[in-house]
Amino acid sequence: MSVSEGVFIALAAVAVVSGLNVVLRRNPVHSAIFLAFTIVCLAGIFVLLNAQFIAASEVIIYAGAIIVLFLFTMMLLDVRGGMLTHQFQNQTGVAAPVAVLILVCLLGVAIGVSTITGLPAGNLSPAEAANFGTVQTLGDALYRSFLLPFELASLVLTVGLVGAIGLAGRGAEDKEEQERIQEAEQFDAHIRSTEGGTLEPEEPVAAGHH
Amino acid sequence: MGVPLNYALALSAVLFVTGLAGVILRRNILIIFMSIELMLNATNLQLIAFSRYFGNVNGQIFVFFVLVVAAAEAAIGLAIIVSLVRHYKDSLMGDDFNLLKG
Repeated sequence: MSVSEGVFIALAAVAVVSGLNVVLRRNPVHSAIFLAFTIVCLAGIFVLLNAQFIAASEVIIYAGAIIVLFLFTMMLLDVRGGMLTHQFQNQTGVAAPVAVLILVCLLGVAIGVSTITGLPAGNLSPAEAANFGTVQTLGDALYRSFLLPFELASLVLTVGLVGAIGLAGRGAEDKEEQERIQEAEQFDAHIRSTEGGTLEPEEPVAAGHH
Repeated sequence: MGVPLNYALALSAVLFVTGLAGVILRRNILIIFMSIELMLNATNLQLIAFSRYFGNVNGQIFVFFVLVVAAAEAAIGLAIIVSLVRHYKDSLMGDDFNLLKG
């Protein structure tokens, strides 16, 4: 077993164990931390597979931005209330066999990939091309062949930003608006009932005060 | 020397099915969302392994775009969850949101 193979297996073991913890933990905060572990291990594997720039972006975007966003969301919402109820759907009897079936199919493809596709069983050796996956080669492809998708990606991010602000921000105004409308309706009802002279719970109190 | 393609594909399969099981088994919408991120990452690993295998950098470009879309998706999805929990129903359990149930 070569060195990179050993490193891969170690990283893969940690990634799988943390991935299982993401799914099985009761507390979503623990899940988020284990997701960060999985991401960091996957970034290490990406480095083994000559994708240095992607590995760096993965750590920055996932561990640095997305998981922090998850944690902020958990801070805003009450995650402890959800931990009291039972955590799994009632469809386990159907869902677990389906998941196992898909796992068997995917593992079969992974093991027999060279016999299925007729491709040579290859080692992903890092020595083959020294500058493969560096920022230079990636930027070359990104700014020549993929220039339009790259610009559209910035558009997607802008739309995401505006949409997130709109969704999370406008809801609060709506709630204030609703509360204001409710208060106004209650006030209206109160005025109408006092003007109409119908019986209401406050009148005996007022009479007693006189 | 090097990592066999089979190993990367097998790890990707295991992580993908872990995420899939999380999506179909868990009730907490935040954990369902994290399981979706796990599945996205399993796919990324597959793309990068094949990119390395064929010596073609396009697979890594695809992963780059997947990261961009995942970032936008996480921002919007979490905003939807925040807005849903605050204004529609004060719950984090997915089956409490059954407006579309027939």
